[in-house]
Amino acid sequence: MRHVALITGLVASAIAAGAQKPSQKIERGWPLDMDGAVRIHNYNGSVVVTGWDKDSVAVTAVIGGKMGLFGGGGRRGVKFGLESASDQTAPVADFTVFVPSRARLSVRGAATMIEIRNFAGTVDASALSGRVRISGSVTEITAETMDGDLEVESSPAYFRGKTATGRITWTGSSDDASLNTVSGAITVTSSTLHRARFESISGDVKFTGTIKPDGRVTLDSHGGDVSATLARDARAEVTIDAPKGNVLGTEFVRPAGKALQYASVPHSGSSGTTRTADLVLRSFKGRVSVAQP
Amino acid sequence: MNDDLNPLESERLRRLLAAAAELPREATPPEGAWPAIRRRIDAARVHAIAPGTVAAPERRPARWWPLAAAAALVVVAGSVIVTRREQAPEQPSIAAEPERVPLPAAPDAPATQSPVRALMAVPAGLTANNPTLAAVLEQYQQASRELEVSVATQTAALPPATREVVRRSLATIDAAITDLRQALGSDPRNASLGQYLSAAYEQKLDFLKRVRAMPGAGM
Repeated sequence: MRHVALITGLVASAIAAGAQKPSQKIERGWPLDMDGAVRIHNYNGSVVVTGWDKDSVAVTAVIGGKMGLFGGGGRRGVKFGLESASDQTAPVADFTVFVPSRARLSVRGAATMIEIRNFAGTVDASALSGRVRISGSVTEITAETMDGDLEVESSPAYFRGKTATGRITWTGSSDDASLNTVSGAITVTSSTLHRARFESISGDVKFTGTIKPDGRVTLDSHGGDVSATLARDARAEVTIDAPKGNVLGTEFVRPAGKALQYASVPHSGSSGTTRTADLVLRSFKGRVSVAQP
Repeated sequence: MNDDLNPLESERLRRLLAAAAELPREATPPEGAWPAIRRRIDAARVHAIAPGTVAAPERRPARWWPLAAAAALVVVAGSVIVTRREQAPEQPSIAAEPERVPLPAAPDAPATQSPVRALMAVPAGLTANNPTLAAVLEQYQQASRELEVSVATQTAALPPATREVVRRSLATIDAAITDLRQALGSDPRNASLGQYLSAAYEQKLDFLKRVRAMPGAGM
């Protein structure tokens, strides 16, 4: 009986050891122009990219299982990653990558956490369930994730961000920004915006900051709450549309059920000749509020 | 997909999507079709003519004037329509929203209304009171239906957790669209509602396109 138990234990250990695939560490590098293109594929795990002042790409990949790292390219462009169509077939892999800080970076993931830091080039990042976090002096951002969160601390000239259920949190300025979720909340803390649109179907949309004199910022949610807090010296014509919701403001409070309401945020020291910015706040079912300290 | 459907309607919709998904992506034209097409292309082709080889064709002034008259008629009719729309401010049009990209023209509608089509129909009051908006919404619906059919098969290739996110997100968008359709049905001239609805449809189209482009979907 003791022999049977011992054999059973040994077999179980062997099976467990077989199931636990060994991981491998791979290090690769390629020369790349400072403004060259880098494309990274990793559908399961993490990708952490850091910008550096060298004209080369260096990657350290820790890959579960035996799948190798593909990669190649020239001075104008480098591409590497794991060959897998989705996170259902991809082994878990963690990439630590250094790229020229002004490169054109593209990262494709699925169940992948993506982090890009100290970077000053253009970013195009997408994941399905992983979080995407971007920081640095990035010039252009296009980022998508489905149920992961998107967190950005940067002031790109151009910014497009999308999620489904994930939240979007952005701290920075931009001349052209568009953020979009289905049910995730959007929170923007900005020093200055020019043209921006933040939209959600059921998520809350919140903006704190300033709008350039001829700029236009629109906050729009079907079922979520929409709120804006303008900086003390900001000048803006505010248009509020809350057919079914409540409108709350420091200077005006309107009863629910009014179809369309207009109001102006009080201006401190307004001369009356300056071009004013437009701030549009819309929520079909949620509450709309605007404030200026 | 549409949480507001009853089980029978839902089953019909599922069967329709499944049947559409089984249609071949490409179809070979019947034998003998290509030579006929080729003949028509060749007949319409413009051939280079070497200078001096052919005498100048005889002028036939009687051929151009009906075309010119028709063109003039179209221009005049177009101007009248545009002028009348501009003179009717009580007709709200979401086409006036500058930030919205106009949809491409929808393909020809089928001759008979399918059950799905009837379910998603634009509210009758809207068609009568605001035909411009009703037409735009019809285009949104058509585009949305086509995309849903093409995405339905691809979502099967997605991981279960992502499929669930897609399902929940589409349900959220569809619930918003249903809300707005009902509101617009009782207040068809409300331009603001039209903008909300067009925004919701654009969100849906954009979301479906994102699903179609996902890794694992259709790869």
